[in-house]
Amino acid sequence: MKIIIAIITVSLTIAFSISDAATSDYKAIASSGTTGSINEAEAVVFGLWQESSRMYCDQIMRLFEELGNRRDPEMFKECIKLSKDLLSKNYDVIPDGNNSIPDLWEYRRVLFLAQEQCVNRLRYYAEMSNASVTDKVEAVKLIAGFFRKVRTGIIPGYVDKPVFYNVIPGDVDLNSIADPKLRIDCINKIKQNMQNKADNEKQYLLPKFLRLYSKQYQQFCARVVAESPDVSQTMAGILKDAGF
Amino acid sequence: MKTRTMKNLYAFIALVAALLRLEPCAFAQNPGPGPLTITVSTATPTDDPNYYLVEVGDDGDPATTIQITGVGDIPSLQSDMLCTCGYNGQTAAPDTDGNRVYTFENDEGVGDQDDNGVGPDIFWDVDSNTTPNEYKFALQDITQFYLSCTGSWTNGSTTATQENSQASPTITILAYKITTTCDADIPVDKTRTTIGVGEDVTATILPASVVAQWTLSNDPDGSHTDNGSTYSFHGADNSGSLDVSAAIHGVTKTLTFTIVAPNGENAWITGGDGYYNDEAGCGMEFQVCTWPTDVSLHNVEILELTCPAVTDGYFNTRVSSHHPNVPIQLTNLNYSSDHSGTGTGFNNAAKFKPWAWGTYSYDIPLRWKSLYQSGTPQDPTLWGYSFSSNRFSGTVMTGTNGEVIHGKFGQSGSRTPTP
Repeated sequence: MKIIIAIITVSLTIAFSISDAATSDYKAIASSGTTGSINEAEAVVFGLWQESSRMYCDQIMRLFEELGNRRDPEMFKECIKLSKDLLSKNYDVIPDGNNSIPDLWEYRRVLFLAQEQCVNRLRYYAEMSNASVTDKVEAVKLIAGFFRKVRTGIIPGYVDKPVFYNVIPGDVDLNSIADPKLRIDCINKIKQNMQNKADNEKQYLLPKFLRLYSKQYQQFCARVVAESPDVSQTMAGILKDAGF
Repeated sequence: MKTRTMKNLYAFIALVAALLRLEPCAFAQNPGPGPLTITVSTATPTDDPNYYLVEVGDDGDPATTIQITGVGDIPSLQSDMLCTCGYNGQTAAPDTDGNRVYTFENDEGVGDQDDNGVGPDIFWDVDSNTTPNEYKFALQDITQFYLSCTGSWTNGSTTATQENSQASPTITILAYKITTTCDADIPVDKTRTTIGVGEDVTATILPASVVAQWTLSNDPDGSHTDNGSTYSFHGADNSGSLDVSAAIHGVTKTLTFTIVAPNGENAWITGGDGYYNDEAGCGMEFQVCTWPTDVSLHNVEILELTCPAVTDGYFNTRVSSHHPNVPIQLTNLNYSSDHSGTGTGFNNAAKFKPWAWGTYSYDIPLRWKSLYQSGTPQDPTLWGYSFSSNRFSGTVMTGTNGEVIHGKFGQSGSRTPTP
């Protein structure tokens, strides 16, 4: 019996280890000397958020897709875990301590696009991996939360704000402005220009997400209900909560 | 002893004879024809032998005629159905009463009619008016009627009829239609298959009940693969072509899109900077239109790069390198805005007196990328693409009266300070 358990344990370890070339980054990230298990890779990727939101987004999506493409119900559970961490991040907050003039939305956009990709892949992997209805409902909840957040971020009747490649007071190097007060004034104007761009782009991307992906999501929900009618009440509540 | 042996022999012979008598009776039982079947021509077979596809065309496209053919046989006539000659007892099959009658259960199509009923074929024209849906077809029955025996031929029963009602499997023909819709409202043709880099498109397959597997040709890691009746994707990051494929029951339908990259621009002046009297300076705002305009470049960002100033005369010590602010996402009209000039207020490069002749210029390089490519202004190496543009920005102070001529995008304006 002990031998059988040992064999099963070894098999599971092998099954859960990240061994192919596509995931070599995570093995490296998981630091030398580790076994490169999924749990370790996840822990490392989760920690990247503090270091760089972009690196975090890149790595978590690669790991997410690596696991999702295995089309395995157990791996799908890992995808849910990764999604929860990624979707818990707020694209309205800039995590990176950037320089004096951050391009606000550039940093948020990386996260937003990663989350957008994540919810779409989560839906796809849920079906491709033959995940359990329970896990599918979990995925539906996570995606619904993202839809809800996107929906609440949309400003009805938003009109684009003016944005310029170069703003007054001219297109010269800020470092050449000797007067500190004037320099701050110039920086504020440039910041306003960037803020306008950030607002415009956000108000472009959020409604676009709803336009492009609402139907797919609803069809996915319908298929989950068709597969297991007893979750229809739960699903209806989730969808209503997400604004559908 | 001899008698007993003989009895046993007779019994054995009787048993063999009985068996021999049974044998012809067993063979005489008519096994009958097998179940009915159905064949389909013109529609596309799939990995499911009972599932076929046909594409619903657009207005003006010729109709696709689907032919569904019933196949099967009827049982042989039983002996009491045969006509018997009253003179010599000879038997013969009665004459058939018309062709065999094929009874279908079909959602669509018309049978090939003859005098007596429906023939073995159903013909169905699929055209732009056909509603995308799944259509079912099955052959329920084949019946052959016979005429009564005539003259001195008689039979023991009334008119013979033979029938095979072992229905065929139901086959499904999916009449589908794939449409694509560009997300951008401008250009107005939302069904375009020539799209801008990064432009969003949604493909839809009808009927909505169909779950297709969607793939993109430039997606080697499959990260944009999806399933469902709708599929949203965006144009590649640079010009070229893009295949969008929908697989239904193992059959792949591919749509090809042409991806167009920004290839030029023009600009016009939309306003000027304000200056005080007795203040030299000239500046203006531009509206820039990026080409081509027959696709949407709404998902394109353009970034001006830093470049050194070339100065002379009055401006020799008064301007520094060009320092652009922010990459611009083009609007739904492929527009963007710019401001260019000597600056205003304390930062006006032309504010100092005495005025004198001088020039400065920037030959500004630009880069563009798709919105879907993550690259910040702080990392310009990610901005790999450019196009021919005229972002040369030049300023001339013509002399001691403070007149300044400024231009960019090949457009210019001038201003002479009011004393």
